[in-house]
Amino acid sequence: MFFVLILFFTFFYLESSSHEIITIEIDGSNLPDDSGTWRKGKEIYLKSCSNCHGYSGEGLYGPELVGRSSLDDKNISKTIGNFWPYAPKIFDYIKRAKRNDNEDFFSDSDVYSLTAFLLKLNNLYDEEIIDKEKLSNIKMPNRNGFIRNYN
Amino acid sequence: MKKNSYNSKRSFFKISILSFLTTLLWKKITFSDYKVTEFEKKTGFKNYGFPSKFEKIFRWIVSNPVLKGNGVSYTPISKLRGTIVPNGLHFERHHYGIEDLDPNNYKLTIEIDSLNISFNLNQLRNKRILSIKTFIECGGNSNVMYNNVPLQSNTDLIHGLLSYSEWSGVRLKDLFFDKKISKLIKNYQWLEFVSYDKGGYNISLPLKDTLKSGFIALYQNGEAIRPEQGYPARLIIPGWEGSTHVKWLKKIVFRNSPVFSRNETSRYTDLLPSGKAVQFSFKMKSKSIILSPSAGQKINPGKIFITGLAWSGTSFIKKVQVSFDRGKKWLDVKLDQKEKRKSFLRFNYTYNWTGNEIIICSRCIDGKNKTQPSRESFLKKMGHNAYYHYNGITYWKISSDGNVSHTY
Repeated sequence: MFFVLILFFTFFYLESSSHEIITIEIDGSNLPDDSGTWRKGKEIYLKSCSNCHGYSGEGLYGPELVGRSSLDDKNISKTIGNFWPYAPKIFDYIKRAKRNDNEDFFSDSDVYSLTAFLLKLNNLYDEEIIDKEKLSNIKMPNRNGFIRNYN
Repeated sequence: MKKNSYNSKRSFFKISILSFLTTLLWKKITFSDYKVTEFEKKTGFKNYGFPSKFEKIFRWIVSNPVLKGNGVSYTPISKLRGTIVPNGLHFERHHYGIEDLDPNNYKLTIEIDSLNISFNLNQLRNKRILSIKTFIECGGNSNVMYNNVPLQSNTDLIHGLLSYSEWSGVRLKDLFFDKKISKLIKNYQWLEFVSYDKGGYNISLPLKDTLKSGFIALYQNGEAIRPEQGYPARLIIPGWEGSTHVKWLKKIVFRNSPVFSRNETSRYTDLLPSGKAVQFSFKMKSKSIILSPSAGQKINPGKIFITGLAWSGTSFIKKVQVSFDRGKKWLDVKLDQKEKRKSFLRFNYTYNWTGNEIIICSRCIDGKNKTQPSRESFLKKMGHNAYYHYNGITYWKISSDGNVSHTY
């Protein structure tokens, strides 16, 4: 595990129509009423994300995003598939931390699409369309993988 | 098989980038780049002073080559003496670039229930200002110590995500001392701190413990904190990991549960050998390192002056010990009486080196009688994948030719 892997994360993105970043709740209750498709997500990913995260989310300058390997292996990689506990927070993070080619926020629909594509690459979602309800209902494999120092 | 080759590729990539960027930045800059104004020339004074042009002391920068504003700069801790780190050398870890906010438009908003209570910068500066000397250490500081092979780099690039300053500002307790807030506060257990930066960086912290010592810093070592440190206002919680010290503070939201943001789930959690990850591990554990002699330096036989730092986010430093045989025998360092009950201190020790190969190291014992662990016992408990919060011992090998290198 190397520090620089984290450093090379791509985090830029921005504010477009809505200049306020909303903190999405873990139950998805305040996700926007919009939707996206994994096909559109793939298109956006290859254009805007693969430079840093690799062609299929294997990581490059940015961290690996895809993989379901066990977390007690010797050489683990923490990915969305094996580590992220709450699916709606994928939307939260892409929306707040990523920009499109115009250095602008991705639209809500684009973020839904990217979320669907990343979930599909991780074998966690196989439907064409994703929306508020569908995203909120996905149970991530590592949901119970944390020991909390504070409750 | 496939996994191993991937990992070695990854580490090679990392090390080559590290050496390339750091060499580049070390060589290129001098303080003479500062443009002296006509007025300064005429008067022979400087409006704002700089170090001597003969001093070459800089932070080491490691950043994403394809993404400006994302990365770290390391404090050259092995080249400093005393404890205070000059403002321009404080380490930085930026997730979403640096903001340079206009103080005239600055507003800090507290959201509790349906209430929004805002403060502008003047209102904050006119509250009771208290000062505290404390360190900030990145949760990922020293994380190359988890690697299987000791990184042959200098101390600064291993341990330099650590800095110590005098911070001045308004206690959260005082900020929340408001009739409306006092009435509602008992309904809440968590606070979400949100930044003005491009990613709206957010972290949730437990209300009760955060209130004990948390404050909004407006000044660092006397002057207004700098843009890189979160101008005009940032959160400070003495002893807690750097990621909790939210910069360019925009909002404090009272909540009943954590927000589970990316930086408190996917990052800054400690993945244990069991496959479970410890979350909300805010307090930086007790730790010490020898800064001189240290990796990359060269010494001559005879009297050597050993110096280092010891610090604790959980207690105070009660004792520091040094060893010259990789921890078989430990010798007490005489601490200045003034250093009693301090949670960040410098230690010194004089040693007569005969020219034989030795392995030197330090360890601290804190106010809770916890002894800083060896690297082996630290890793036995934490495993190799925790990535954050390394507080085991660091060992330096002094070869018979006087060269100092990093060893396990």
